[in-house]
Amino acid sequence: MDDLQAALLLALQAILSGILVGGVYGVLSIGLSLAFGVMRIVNFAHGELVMYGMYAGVIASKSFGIDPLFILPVSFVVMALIGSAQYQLVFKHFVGHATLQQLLAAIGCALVLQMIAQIIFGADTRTATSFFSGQYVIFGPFFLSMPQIVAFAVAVVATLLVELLLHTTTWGKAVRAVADDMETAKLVGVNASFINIGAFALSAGLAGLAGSVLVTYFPTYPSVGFSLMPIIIIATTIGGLGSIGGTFLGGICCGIIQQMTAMLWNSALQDVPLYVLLMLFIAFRPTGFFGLRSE
Amino acid sequence: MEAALPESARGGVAKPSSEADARRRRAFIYGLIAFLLVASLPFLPVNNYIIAAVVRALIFISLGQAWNVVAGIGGLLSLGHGVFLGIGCYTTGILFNQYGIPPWLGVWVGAVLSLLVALVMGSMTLRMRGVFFALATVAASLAMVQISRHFVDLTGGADGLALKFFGNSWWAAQSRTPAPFLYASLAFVTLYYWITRWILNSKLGLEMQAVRDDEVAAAAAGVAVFRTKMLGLLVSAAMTALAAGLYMQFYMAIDPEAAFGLSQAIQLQLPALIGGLGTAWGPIIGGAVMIFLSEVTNWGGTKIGVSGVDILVYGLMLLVVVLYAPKGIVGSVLRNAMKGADR
Amino acid sequence: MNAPAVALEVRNIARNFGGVVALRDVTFSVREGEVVGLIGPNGAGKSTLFEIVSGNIRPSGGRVAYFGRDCTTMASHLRRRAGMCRTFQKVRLFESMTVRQNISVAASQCLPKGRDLGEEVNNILAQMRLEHQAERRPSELTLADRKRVEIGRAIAGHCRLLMLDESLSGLTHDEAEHLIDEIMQLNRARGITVIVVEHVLSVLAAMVQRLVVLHNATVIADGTPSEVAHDPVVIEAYLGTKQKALR
Repeated sequence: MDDLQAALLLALQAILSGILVGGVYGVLSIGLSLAFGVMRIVNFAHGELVMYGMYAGVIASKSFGIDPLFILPVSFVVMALIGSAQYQLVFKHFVGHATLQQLLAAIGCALVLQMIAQIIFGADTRTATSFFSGQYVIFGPFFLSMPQIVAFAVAVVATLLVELLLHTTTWGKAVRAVADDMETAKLVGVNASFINIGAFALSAGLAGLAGSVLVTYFPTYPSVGFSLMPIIIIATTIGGLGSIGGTFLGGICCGIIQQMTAMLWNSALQDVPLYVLLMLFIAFRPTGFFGLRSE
Repeated sequence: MEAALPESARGGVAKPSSEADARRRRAFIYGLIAFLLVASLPFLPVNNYIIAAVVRALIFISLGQAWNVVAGIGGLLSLGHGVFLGIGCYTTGILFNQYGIPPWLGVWVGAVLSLLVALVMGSMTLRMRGVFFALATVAASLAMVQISRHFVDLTGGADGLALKFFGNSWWAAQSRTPAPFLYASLAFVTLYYWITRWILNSKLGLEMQAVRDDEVAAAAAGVAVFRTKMLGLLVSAAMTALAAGLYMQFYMAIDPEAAFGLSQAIQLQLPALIGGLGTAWGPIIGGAVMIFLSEVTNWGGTKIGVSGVDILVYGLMLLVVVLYAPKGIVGSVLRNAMKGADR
Repeated sequence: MNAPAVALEVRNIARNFGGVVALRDVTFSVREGEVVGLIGPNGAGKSTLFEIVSGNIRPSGGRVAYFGRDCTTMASHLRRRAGMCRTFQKVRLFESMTVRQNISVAASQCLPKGRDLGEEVNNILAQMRLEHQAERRPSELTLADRKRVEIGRAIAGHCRLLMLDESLSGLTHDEAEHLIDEIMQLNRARGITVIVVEHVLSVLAAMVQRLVVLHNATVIADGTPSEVAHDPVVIEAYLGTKQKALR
């Protein structure tokens, strides 16, 4: 009986921390989902944009003593600019089709961005300290990390803001129109290239912002993007490529499954069920739960 | 009435086949020269460092040739070939270290295991299209990273697996000097070159190219699309696992990241992508160019105290190839050079 | 005298996409050796029907039989091997392969035992007047020649029923005439049954023995060209642009 109770408590603890971690996975992923939804671009270098956001947090915290949470707007703007450059140089050529060439180009970008980071920041693992670092909240029998709670709150706010942007502004409505059907949107007079670059900048900016949030409790290193990318892809695929809310929920699903696996089975294998889930989703439901029609 | 069409402007109507023959003969002669040059390296005043670099290049090329079969000829951009590399390496290594089975036998066990895994992976992923296939194969590969880390007793966990060293030994296929590996890897590359040529001209090769060009049209021409993709994947998986045996004997160690990691998966693709997808010469030229550039840049990088410059160069080359020369070096640069010579 | 066998029988075929009805209760048959036109305005369901018959779309209901054998759920490559051959509305060739390879890939799938592959490919090249183009890649050919290659690829090896999807569109008047000649030649010399899908009637009137008219997802007329042209239902529903279509 006690065993059962303990297991239940452990499961609940896993679900709670899964939701917290998952919210951040969600905000890491919505940028990728947006770029796919609008332009059918799978930006394999999304993780690298996150990585630069993380380094921005490290620099703010270690060199200037500023809490990474205060530089979120800066990360957003800087990464949005880098994202626009990336779009202009590379992805402009591939809009509209999720082709293999596009995937390869994105992988090339990822390698380049990774190695530039390694040259600038070195190969070592770096951490940032936030005001909340090391704090915990004891909530009944549960034990929650304060930086994760704060990061979750930021993630929820950011996702809501993006949804608000897409549903209330003229620009956002145009973006959704392009995501729905690019040809028709062009016919009704939407300037698709203007929409595209804006959407890509937003996607990259979100990656930067998410990185600066993530770094408050997760260390960074030049290839951290490759470590994060699988989860980002899985969250996006489960939630549905192209659906912002769906992707956020997909992130939370990933967080819960990962934490459950880690706590109840084996933390070394925490991602294996996610990979299996990804294969199953791609095989049987490539649109995810809330996604657009598949390619 | 057809004579009025653009072909008269092209000039080459007369004998396209003799032109192709000349090109083929020239390629054969260049290949023979390269082969003899590499084979005579141990007799030239060259140090072991350079021979080892050439061996690395040749192993890299043979892995690229294996990937080229499924991706270049078959059009399936697998990011999961690390799975077969890893299975080949780990199987050879574990059988040798724990059961004393020589790699000469172990490598075949690895190939059979790879075939089985490819069968399972293929039946799950081969019906997916394009990018989704690539993403699914990445997932398979990354799952293997965690699984191989987990079974510490078998694989040595995250630290990896090192072969027990026996010095110069035929039985253990080990050597203190790189020269024997030079011949082994050269044999692999030559054999794989002929296999690629043979596939390209075979019925299977034509079917694979048809599927690569247009799946629906291939089915409408009577090609069994799924079966063709599966055969291509199986051939490629077996070739990768066999070359992995050589990889293991030369490097003497393997770890989860080196076998199944994303960086490795990407590096496996580069020779064929840069050299020219779906051509017999592509991976050879691409791999040679890549290793040369990476040795030079790494040497330059250590001079100025920066590491990892070779990855930067790989990334840039990938971008340049995808954006400006989608047919790779063989498809764009060399083809023009050869055409120019013909005129 | 024996009546010719029924080459293709389409019975009560229906297909919905979500809530949209693309086809309902479509029934018609084609006898061996016939040349039949399948016409209808854009959106009438011709393409859906074509894809169902060639095996790329499963019908929601009804069945398709080929020489008396049910093939409703047969995979498309097996239909091709059994002799049900098709072309595409937008020509789809294997762009990286030569014309000869394009044809040989299809021929090698279903060549009857005892026949030589190289000989068959040469025959097809000669039949489609492509000998001089054999070593070229499709991108170097004119549209008319690309269509020829596609038809050659479709009939190579073994072909009893040839389904042409708007093969005449995009060609000049002369090119279309030549292609029609060649198709009729295939029909006569090789005994191939032909189904031609077009949305304009005029080009078909000369070649087909029978027309099946599709409108609003179902068959509204089935008869000789002149019968169809004078059928009030057809005139009412489809040939509102009669003058233009018949000219």
